[in-house]
Amino acid sequence: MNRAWQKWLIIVLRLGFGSLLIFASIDKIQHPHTFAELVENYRVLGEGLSRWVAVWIPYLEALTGLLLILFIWKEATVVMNCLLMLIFLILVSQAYVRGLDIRCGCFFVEGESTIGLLKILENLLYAGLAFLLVELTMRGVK
Amino acid sequence: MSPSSLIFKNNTWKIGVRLTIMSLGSLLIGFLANQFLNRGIHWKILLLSLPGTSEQTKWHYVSTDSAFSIFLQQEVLFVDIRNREDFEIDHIPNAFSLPFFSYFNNSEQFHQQNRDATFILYDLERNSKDVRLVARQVIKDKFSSVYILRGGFVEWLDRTYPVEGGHFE
Repeated sequence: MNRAWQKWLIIVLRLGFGSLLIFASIDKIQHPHTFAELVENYRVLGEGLSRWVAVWIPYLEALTGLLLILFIWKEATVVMNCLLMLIFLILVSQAYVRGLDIRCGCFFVEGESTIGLLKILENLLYAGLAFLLVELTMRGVK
Repeated sequence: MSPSSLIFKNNTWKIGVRLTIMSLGSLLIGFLANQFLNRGIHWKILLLSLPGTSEQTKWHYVSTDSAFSIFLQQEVLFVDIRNREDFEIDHIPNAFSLPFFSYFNNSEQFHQQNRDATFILYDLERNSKDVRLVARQVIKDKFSSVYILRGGFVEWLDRTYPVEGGHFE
């Protein structure tokens, strides 16, 4: 892949992930209590820690999204984006494997579909693209 | 060796610091923003959510039938933590309205109650998490005799025990 293509791919991926993260954070920020219940439903954290996550993660998503779009802290933001996508992938996968019949809470806190193979594939795609963005960004830095 | 691993070698420290700033910064922003959001997670709720705090609580559960017996003797104050709209429609007679979100934001009105009195807290649902949180905070606020209506208002209605509604002070 030549450098011009790499550059454009980085721009598209940064803007894409940035918009995605900001979009995903809005409903969670507006409904923190409902989001805390969704986090608790994954049965990884207890009731108490789920509330802390509900206070923290939506703002981390929004901040990471904003920095991605603004091209600030280029390496750190793509790493954070990749970490977030990996965490989401792991959470969704473990819920599916354990047979938990829960809502994803990925973009909206209410009315979203339950977790299934399609949701895992979606998260796998995001994680793969996030990793690609890390690789491309690091090459660009080099 | 992949490009990212090469860069990580040189930039690990810088990236690590920035990741930490992003993480702590977003936690701080989230914490502060939730204090101002209408239905945010108040700092008191977060403190009560820390591991180990549940061990300090000393509330007791009371069954719906027992609560009704106590209700007939009029020696207890029922505290309804549902939102005000629901409270206005119907509630246990003479219950005090203490909406979940209001209590954590402004509990002055409730603090005027007699601290030696007996309180039975209830939410709509059975085993409500919200009512347990309020009970913890009420106990922290030095109210000594705190009970939770285990079956919630739903079970009270199922038993066709008396309710009143239509007014709110």
